[in-house]
Amino acid sequence: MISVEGKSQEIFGGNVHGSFQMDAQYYNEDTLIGATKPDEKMAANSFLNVIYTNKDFEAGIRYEAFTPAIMGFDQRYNGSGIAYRYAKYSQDHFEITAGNFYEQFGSGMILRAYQEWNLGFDNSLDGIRIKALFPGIRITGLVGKQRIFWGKGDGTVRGIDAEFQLNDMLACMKEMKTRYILGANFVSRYQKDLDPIYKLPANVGAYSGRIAVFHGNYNFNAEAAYKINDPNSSNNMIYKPGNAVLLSLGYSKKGIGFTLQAKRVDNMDFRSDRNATGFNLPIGYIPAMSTQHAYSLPAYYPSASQANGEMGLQANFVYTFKKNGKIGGKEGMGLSMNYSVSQSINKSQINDTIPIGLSGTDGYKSSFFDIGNEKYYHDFNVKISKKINKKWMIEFSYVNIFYNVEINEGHKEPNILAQSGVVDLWWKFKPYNSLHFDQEAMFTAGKGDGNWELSMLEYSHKSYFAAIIDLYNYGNPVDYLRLHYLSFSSGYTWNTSRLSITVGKQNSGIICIGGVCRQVPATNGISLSLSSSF
Amino acid sequence: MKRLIKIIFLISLAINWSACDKISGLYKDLGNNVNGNNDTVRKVLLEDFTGHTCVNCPQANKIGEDLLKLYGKQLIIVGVHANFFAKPIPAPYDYDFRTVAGEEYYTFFGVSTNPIGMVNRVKQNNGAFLVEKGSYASEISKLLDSLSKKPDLYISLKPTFSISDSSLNLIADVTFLKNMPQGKYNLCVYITENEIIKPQKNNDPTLGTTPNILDYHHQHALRALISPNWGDEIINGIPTNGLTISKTYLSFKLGKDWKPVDCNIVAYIYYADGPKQLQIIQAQEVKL
Repeated sequence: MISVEGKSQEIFGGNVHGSFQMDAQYYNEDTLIGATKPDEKMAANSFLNVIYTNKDFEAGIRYEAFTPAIMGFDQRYNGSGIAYRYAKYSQDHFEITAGNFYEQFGSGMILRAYQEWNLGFDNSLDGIRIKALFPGIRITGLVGKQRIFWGKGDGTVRGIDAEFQLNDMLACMKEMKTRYILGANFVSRYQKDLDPIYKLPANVGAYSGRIAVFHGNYNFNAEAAYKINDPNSSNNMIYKPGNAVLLSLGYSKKGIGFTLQAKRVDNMDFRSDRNATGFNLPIGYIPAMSTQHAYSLPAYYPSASQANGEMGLQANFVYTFKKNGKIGGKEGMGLSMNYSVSQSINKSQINDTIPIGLSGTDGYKSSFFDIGNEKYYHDFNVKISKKINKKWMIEFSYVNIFYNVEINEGHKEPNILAQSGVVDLWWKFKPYNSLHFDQEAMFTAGKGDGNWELSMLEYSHKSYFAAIIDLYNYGNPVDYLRLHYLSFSSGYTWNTSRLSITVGKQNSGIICIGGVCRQVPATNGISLSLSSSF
Repeated sequence: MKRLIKIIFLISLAINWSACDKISGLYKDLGNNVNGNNDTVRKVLLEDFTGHTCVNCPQANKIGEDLLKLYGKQLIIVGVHANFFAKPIPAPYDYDFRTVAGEEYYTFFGVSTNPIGMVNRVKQNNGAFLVEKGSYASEISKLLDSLSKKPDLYISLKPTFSISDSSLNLIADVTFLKNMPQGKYNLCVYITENEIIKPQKNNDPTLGTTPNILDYHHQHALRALISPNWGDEIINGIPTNGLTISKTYLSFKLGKDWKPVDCNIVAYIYYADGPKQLQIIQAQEVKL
């Protein structure tokens, strides 16, 4: 095992810090579960991040190596090199970055450059960013091109965002109990029109406005966005403008909280290359409006955001029953409930002769409040957490998911209704020693893989853990696919370094982070993960 | 300070607001091709990786057909049915379109999604040969605009087909029309078939029924290679203007269910080494 002390280093009067991660997998072929073996037998995704800071100056690089990329990641990542480098300095009211950078305007609907290592996603910008920072005011301007694997996208992204904290700006509002934040941004993509068939807009602009209000225990957020004609591969080359609205109302105080959220998205897939599809080169990001489950089986059918048409609602409620109360008992009890639903938007023909979505036309008409008939997703879940005493804790969860296979995975199959139950038990049997038992079951209706069961037993001792997991597809409609996926995991953490190893089988599935999803192939072998920071 | 903020804000707004192009009038321009029957023109090969269970592939095929209307003989399309989306599955998708060469190309060029293609196997900025379906038109246009209309070489294909035993003989004459750099030049010859009526998955209702088009007309499907998968070396040296090299292929047997009347022969010359290795220089297509 390799480990590095968790201290940054001093060099040339400045400070160097960084992090390292390596995720490696050794593959065995297993035709029964559909696990294949690459020619290399072993694959590894690695990066080393190094950041140097000296007073107002900062510079950094990230070296990445995909040797080759782990199966399930796009193999166009294969190779190694400096994927991210930048220099930044801050002086007076300005901060200037040259090179690569990540950025988000508002909720990210028209600009979000970010990285998600576990998804194999990185749409960082390479260019110049200038931030002007004054009391209550932040203005960000940027220009650059986005990363695609080891190259850059075809289009150039230009953008500006301004955010005003009114209470800090205006003397008359300083003492107000209600706080207001206003924001507006504009993003434009330039990509030359070389298409001999379509007349394409070389400059495609999108803008959004937002407001956030905080009053006592309440908070309210709203953002609305608009994009001009942007015929692209994901919308089948239609010229209809796009729009999106996100609304959120929340209340929170000790022991109770709720959130209500709504969104409507219409033709808002915005990329720096109009021909890009899949993960490649998104400028805008449409957040998911559903629970991101931590347990394996409830996370089996996750929701993917639909940038080109979706209406969603989410309600979340959390409550803590007080200690020594009738329901809470001696140690109190936590309750959380969540419901989210996502539906299509209604689309109608522009006229009698043009079918909906025909390329080279305005595509369709859609009234703002007109909900479509097709359900994309719903998730109702409830969780009860109960600390019995200082040694025992138990958690019960019930999750009910409706999953539209065609929308979330792109191939037409019957929709799936999945109901899951989870019992999670912790026993701290002596100081620094605990056992954790997780029992999950999922019952499905529709096509899918049928019913699943998962059992996990984990032992933890200070920085060490060992776990054995059995995932069993006992209800698969195909007899010979009723398989056990048995795996053993162990890990050790030392200061800022962590090493973990897993041996066994992993089922195929989909992982989603924030509504962005990646397919994970079935594997049978050994996976190793090492992370460290300094 | 307030003045400074105003100036920054207004300049930025002015720059950004001007960065919008609203398209009005006709969005599409599908003019007829202007090349007529002139055969001595630069021809581009579009290899489209496709599969009968790929729901987005009919859209790529439509793009290809639109481009054929525009470019006529200057564009040659080959549909390479390979790997996951081309695998036979229970009926009605039990037909096997796959070819040995197609599978090798799929792996060699790092294909992982469908539809995706290559335009003359030109390497892109990101180091890959592959382009998304939405880029087919612009990549072909960019390539043709950057090169002279007169080709660097001409490929003459003279097939003779025997109906009695379904065998094909082919004489391919390659004539260089200018002096070319020193290197290895390979000739590769495909046989393709049009009008294969088999099911195709589809998610675009404007192109047919969803999710299945049971009587889909598969066009330009790669059937087999007459040459080896990476072609035959025709010269390793300096091709000079006027040089003609002849290559003969004898007794190639057509598959049992192929319809000779719908079959085409597609041939191309590519750089087999050097900085443009694998890039196609010129292609040709004739009916069987």
